[in-house]
Amino acid sequence: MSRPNGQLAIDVQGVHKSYRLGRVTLKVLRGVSLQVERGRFVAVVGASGSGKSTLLHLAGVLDRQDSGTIKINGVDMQSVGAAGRNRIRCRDIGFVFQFYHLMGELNVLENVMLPAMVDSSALGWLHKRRGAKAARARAMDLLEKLGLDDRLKHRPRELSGGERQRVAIARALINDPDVLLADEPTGNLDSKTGRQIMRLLKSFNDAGQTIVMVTHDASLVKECDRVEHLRDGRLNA
Amino acid sequence: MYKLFLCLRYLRSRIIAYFAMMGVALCVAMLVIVVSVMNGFLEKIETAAKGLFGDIVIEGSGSYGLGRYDEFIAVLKGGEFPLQTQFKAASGDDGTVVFTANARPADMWAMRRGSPDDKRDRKISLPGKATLRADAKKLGELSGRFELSEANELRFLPDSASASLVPQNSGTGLILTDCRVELPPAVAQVEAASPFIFTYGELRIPGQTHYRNPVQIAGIRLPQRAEVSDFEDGLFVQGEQATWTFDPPIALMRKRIEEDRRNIGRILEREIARRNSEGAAGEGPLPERLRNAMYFHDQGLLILQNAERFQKPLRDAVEELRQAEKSGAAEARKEQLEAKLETLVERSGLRPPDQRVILGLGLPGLSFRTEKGETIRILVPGHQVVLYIWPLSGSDDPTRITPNVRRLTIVDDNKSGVSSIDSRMLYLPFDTLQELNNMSATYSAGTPSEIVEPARCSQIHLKVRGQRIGEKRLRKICRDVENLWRDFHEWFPKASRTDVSVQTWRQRQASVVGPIETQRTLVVVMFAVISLVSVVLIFVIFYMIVVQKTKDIGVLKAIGASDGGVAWIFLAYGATIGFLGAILGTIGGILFVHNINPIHDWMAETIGFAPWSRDTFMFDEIPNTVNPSAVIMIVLGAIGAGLLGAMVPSIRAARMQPVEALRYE
Repeated sequence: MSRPNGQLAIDVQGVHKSYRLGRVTLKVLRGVSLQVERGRFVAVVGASGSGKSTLLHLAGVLDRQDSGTIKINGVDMQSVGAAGRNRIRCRDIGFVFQFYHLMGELNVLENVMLPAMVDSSALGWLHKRRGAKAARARAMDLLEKLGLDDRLKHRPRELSGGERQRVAIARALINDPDVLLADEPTGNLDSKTGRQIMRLLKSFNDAGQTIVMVTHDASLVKECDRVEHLRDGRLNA
Repeated sequence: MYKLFLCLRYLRSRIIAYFAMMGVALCVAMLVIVVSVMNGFLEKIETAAKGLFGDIVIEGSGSYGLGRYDEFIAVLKGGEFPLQTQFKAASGDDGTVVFTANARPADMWAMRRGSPDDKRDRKISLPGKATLRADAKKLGELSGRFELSEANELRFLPDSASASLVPQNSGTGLILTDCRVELPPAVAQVEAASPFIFTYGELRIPGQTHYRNPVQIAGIRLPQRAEVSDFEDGLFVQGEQATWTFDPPIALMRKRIEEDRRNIGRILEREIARRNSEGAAGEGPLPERLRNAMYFHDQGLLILQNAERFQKPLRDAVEELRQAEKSGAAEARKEQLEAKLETLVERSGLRPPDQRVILGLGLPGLSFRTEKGETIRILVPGHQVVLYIWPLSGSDDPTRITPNVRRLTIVDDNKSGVSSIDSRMLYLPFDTLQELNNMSATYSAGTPSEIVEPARCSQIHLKVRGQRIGEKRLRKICRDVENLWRDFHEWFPKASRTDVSVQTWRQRQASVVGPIETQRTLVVVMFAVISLVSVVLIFVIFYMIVVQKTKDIGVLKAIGASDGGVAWIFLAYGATIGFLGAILGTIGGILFVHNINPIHDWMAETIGFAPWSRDTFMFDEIPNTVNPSAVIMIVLGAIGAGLLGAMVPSIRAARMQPVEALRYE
């Protein structure tokens, strides 16, 4: 994590993306460009269906653009192979989903540790053991910060919405990513809990975490450094 | 690490996984049971067939049988071969005595055949033994070497130990008789061989006029029989002995009968207790039959007890007679002694050893089975039976066959485990049956030393070296034996009158083994098709699981899991279900197979359903040997099925784009 220093964590240039729905081609993004400097908290606001989530998925290497370039930490994603994309997803990017997407079979601690396990499985045996211990310590630390240290052994279904989203945030942060991408993190929560989550995100940003959040709720964005508006597949600040 | 972790978690928390596992387990258990029973069935037939006939059977096609069997066996597997030549002594060049003879062609053949390389024009030297006589008086047993020169001159050279027995310079009065040359084996794979006589007859019991039972009769040599078959394993009295005979110790017979009687007593008590607890009126038929059996046991014990008292007088009488014969006593004296011996035999209640019989355990009326499958003997050793044999051999006019009748004492019984044999067969001493079946040697009326027909047997049974010899190798050995017989027959033309067949146990049992092998294949194929259901089941279950887990797959990919990693999770999941299911099924199947007979009995008792008929399936018990290699195949198949079922959904899961998976509803 680092203070804003002018380096670009995410650099999206003239990205187009369209989906085919049967015979209809839906142009979702039409030449979107977005630069996010390190340490910034950027919000992308737009109505439902404006392409916010698509933009975030492209920035999070979960999807491929039709044209344009996306650079993460200065690396062009077009030039990276499957293994490299997996590694970037694992280490450089943390993703928070609107519907949390926690695994029902795992408890809170295990959900949080999962990305660390995926990461460590790429390393050698010795690293794995060390990695597992370190990951566990880091997960406990994160969950304590998020006020979930008494919920470690609970299953996601036993948690409230706010708690689940906090677990999801902890999971996104476990591998210490360069960028945290949050897709409507409060969209499924009541306004009070939503505000709590926003404060949390802000606190992480204050500690130097680069965050890109998309939301349709303009009232949430006052904590952000910069707000971009996505309309008809184009950004206008 | 996360792959294994997630795989285990999915296994632990998915009930559907348990269903899939049960499906696999059931299929595996089913296959293990079916294959085991079928294999066991074949194996039992194999053991039974081998137990009866050995690995290979030589048989003449007519009722004449095979003559010169001992000579043939000596040539075949190596051993003492009797030379039909009389050696006369002559002075050697150095003044020592040498024995020479004009070799008979058959003897020359045997010696040349038996020597390492079968060459016509070489000097042959083989060890052997002979009896030295001077003017019909026996001087001693000589051992030495028989030599056959290139000019076919046969000589005997006593070894240094024997040479001292030969009186020097005693002229030409010395002769050698009973010359036996030690031949090396002609077919080295043959470990043992034993002649066997097979015929039919009628069994009667003295004092029970209504009992007449057609039987099959085997003439066997004990204890040599044990070398080619496992006949001895099923013996009641002598089963645990180290050697087997038609003259077992009386004390041993008594001991076994007493044990057997106690056992029947226990069954009787149990039966009475059972009937009492059921509140049934009267005793019922079984206790009565058990009491009857116990009565016969007591009778047998009394006979043996009596016989024991006569053992010493009998031995003495035999010795006396032998002495009388040796010392050339007067005919009248010998007759007197013979009569005395006869009286003693009669009073002892046991027939002499050559008039003994071993019954098959299962001859109708002589034993029975309780509902629980226990065999109860009625006629035990000590009792006598009468055997009528219509000799098929040795008579050229089948319209004028007169039976040979012999009273025999039972000394043992045998259980081969094949009910079709045990319920029909009884075993007689080889020489006795040979005589009863008119297979003994006949001599020319004019010159009594000239053999018209040699002593004959019905079959020669061979045991081949090694365990579980393949059919192909056995057939090869069969061909060697057949060639040897053809050769042998040229020099011993009276050895057989018709074609001689040499067959493996499998060929002899082809009518039984063939259909069962076909059935096994068919059943295995059918069950394999049914097992495809389990593959489909696993496939469906996995597809459901993967579909349910689509969002998890999306998350896994979003946090950096590779395609391979995701596929691995579900493949390992499938393999684990296949493996655990297979293990469960194998354990269940093996337990079932091991207890198949108690389960069968229980079914018969409680619901009255007994699919295994002892008469149709030849064996008393359902075969229950588990073949490890078959089980391994089945387990591998099940794991393969699990993998196959998981393959398509896993690949589908791996290929999904993260966004696609996350958006999946």
